Amino acid sequence: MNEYQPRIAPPPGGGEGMFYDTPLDFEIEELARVAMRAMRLDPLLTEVVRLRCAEYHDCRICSSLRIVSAVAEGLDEEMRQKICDYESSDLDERLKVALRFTDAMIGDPGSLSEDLRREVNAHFSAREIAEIAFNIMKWSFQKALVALRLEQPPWDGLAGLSFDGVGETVITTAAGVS
Amino acid sequence: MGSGSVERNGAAAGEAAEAIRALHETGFAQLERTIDAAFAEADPECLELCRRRVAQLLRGSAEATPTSLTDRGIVLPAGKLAALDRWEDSTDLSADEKAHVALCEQFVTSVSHISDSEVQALRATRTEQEVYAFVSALYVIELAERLMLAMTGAGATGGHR
Repeated sequence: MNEYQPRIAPPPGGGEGMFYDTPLDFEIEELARVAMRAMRLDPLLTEVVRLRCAEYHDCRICSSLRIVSAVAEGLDEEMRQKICDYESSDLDERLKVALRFTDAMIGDPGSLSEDLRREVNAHFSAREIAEIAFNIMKWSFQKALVALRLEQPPWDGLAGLSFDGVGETVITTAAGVS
Repeated sequence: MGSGSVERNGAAAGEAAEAIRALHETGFAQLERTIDAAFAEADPECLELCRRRVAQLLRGSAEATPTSLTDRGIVLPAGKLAALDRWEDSTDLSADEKAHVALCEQFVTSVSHISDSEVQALRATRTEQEVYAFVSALYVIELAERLMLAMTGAGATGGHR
C-alpha cells in the first residue's frame, strides 16, 4: 500500500488538505461541498458507493476513511469486504443496483445496459440517480491524486469522515479532528 | 457520421444537460463553473485535445463528439483532430501534446496504472504546478463526460419524478 512516492511535491501543510489552493482547487472543493449539501440519500448507500470508487481508483486515503453516520447505521468491515464482490454477496438489492450503476459510470458509461437502466429506475427516482452520479463525480476527484500519487493518508489505520453544515469534509482521527 | 446525425446527437446532448440541470440545479451550476476554471488553469489546447480523446475512448468511436457541457470553444487545427485516434504515430502532435494524451488515456482506462515515466514525460516541458493543473482539469472534463453518459444511459434524463 505504501510503495508509491508522490510524483510532484505534496501541497504545503503536510498533505492534510490535499489541495494547493489554486482557483481550480477552490471550484472542485465547492463542487464537492455542493454534492454533500444536496445529499438526501441514506448514509449507508452513500458510503457503499464511495468505497467502491475508492477500491476502483486504488485510492489509499479514501480506503482509510469511513463515513461516521454509515458506521452508525451498521457499516462494518465485513460489509466493506462484501462491496469488493458484491454480486455474490447478500447485500441489499438496492445497494447492489447502486454499485452496478457506479461500476458503469466509472468503468464504461457508454455501455450502460437496458437491464441496468430498468433496475436503476425501479430503485431510484431521477433525482436520486442524479445525486448518486454527482456523488460518484465527487468521490472520483481522487483520480487526480492517485495519478500523481498524492493520496497517502497522513494517519495510520482508519479515520472517520463526516460533513459539516456547508458540506465541508471533517476527518476524525484517533488523535482528534483534522 | 453524417451531419444530420451530428445535429441530432448535439440536440440530445443539449436536452440531457438541461434535464440534469433540472435534477441537480446547484450541482450543475457549480460543475459549469468548475469546467470554466479547468480551462482557465490548464493549457486550454492540450485540455481540448484530451477532452476529445476522452470522448473517443468513452464513446468508443473516433468520430465521437464530446458533451457540449465541456465545450469552451477551443479551436484546434484540423490535422491534430484527424490524427487524434492514432496520435502515437502522428507527426501532427508535438511530443508535449503526445505526453498529455498518453497520460489522459491511462487516466481514463486505469488511473492506478499511470507510471512515473508518464508523469515525467509531462515534466519535460511543464512545471509541477502545470502538471497538477492539467491532471485536476482532466478529472473535471473526464467525469463530466462520464456523468452525461451515465445519466443518459440510465434514462434519468427523460422523466423528473
